[in-house]
Amino acid sequence: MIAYLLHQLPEAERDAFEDRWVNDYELYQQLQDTEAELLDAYAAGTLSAGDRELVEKHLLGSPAQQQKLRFARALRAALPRRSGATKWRWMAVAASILALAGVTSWLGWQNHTLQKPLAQTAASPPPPATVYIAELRPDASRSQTAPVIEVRLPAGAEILRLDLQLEAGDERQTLSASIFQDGHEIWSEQPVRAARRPFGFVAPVLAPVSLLTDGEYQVKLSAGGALVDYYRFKLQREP
Amino acid sequence: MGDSVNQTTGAAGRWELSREALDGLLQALGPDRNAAGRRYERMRRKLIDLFSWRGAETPEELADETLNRLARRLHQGEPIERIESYMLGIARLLLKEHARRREQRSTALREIQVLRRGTAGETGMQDALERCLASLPEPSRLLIARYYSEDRAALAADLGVSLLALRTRALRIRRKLYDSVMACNEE
Repeated sequence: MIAYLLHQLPEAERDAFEDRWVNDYELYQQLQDTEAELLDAYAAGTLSAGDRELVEKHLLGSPAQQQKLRFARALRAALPRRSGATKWRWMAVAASILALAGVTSWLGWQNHTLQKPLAQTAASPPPPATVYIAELRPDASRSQTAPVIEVRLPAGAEILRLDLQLEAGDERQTLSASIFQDGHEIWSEQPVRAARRPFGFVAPVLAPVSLLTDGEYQVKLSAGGALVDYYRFKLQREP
Repeated sequence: MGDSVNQTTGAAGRWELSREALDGLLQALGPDRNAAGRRYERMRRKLIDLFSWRGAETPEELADETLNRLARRLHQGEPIERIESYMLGIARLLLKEHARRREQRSTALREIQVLRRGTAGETGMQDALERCLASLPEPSRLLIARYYSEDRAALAADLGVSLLALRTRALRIRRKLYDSVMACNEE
């Protein structure tokens, strides 16, 4: 949703998402909420310089949009301030867990590997699915003793989307990803198409939650057989 | 949706929304006229957001033009099964037309307008917001105040709800507040 609002989606994905929210009032409201949080963060000055620029470029171009920003500013002035930066991006991503219910058909278009398991969702209307998104940074140390990112998977999540942060230039490669647990490959995906985010590129990998148990996982991202990056995470499923 | 829509052909020979065409659109939106009116307003709101998010400078005008064209198609007897999807198709055509027109214009004027708009109406908005905040039910006012001023994880724990449930509640109140403030501003 953030990518849609900040014009970071490719045209086909933008149109597909638009088809969905125009026909789904709940999704439309979630989109409004995401926009509200973006503008709240803009008004509070907690956006990164890059995000701020994108908001100015894409969300503030009409009087109607300026009015929304004025409202965000007025709200900020009228209510007591909280200390520290608002974790707007985390909130928006976390909200996607709920908001993306029913978004599998959209994700299915993004992701060829999942097209078959999700084939039934391509029919209209698609049955809802719940997607949890976690963002992983490359583990440069590749040491088993290095701290590992913990992913707490909420109950009810059906698909885990791992957004693997890419180093500059890697987005141009034909990527494939494999997820390992205890040295065994449990899921692989090829090709993985890089997606632009306001802060750079990620490789989104979608795995069915039914395959995942609590424990530590390794993700290898490769191109032409050569390792591009390595990621680790520890999964904990919430009861 | 005022009364200034009684002709099918304007002075410049351009099609305009007639009462009959508007009635046809409302009928297509549902058998109950009040419910159809609400659906019309929701569609218009969606269109304004759609055009805004796509970067159009005059989203309200484009939203109204989309609905006019939709009414026209219905009036001309075109069978339309999924109205919102059809509406989106018209909106996309208008976006293309709008983009072509924009390319032909200088951007200088727009830049000046954006700079000026930034400070206009700030005081009026603040006054309206404070009035609308005061008219909120006490639990809603308290919740939104705490949401914007306290640590949200702690607040969620305090209220015994998940962080996402808290967000949903707070943003629902924010939406209502925004609608009230806009209604105040229009009065």
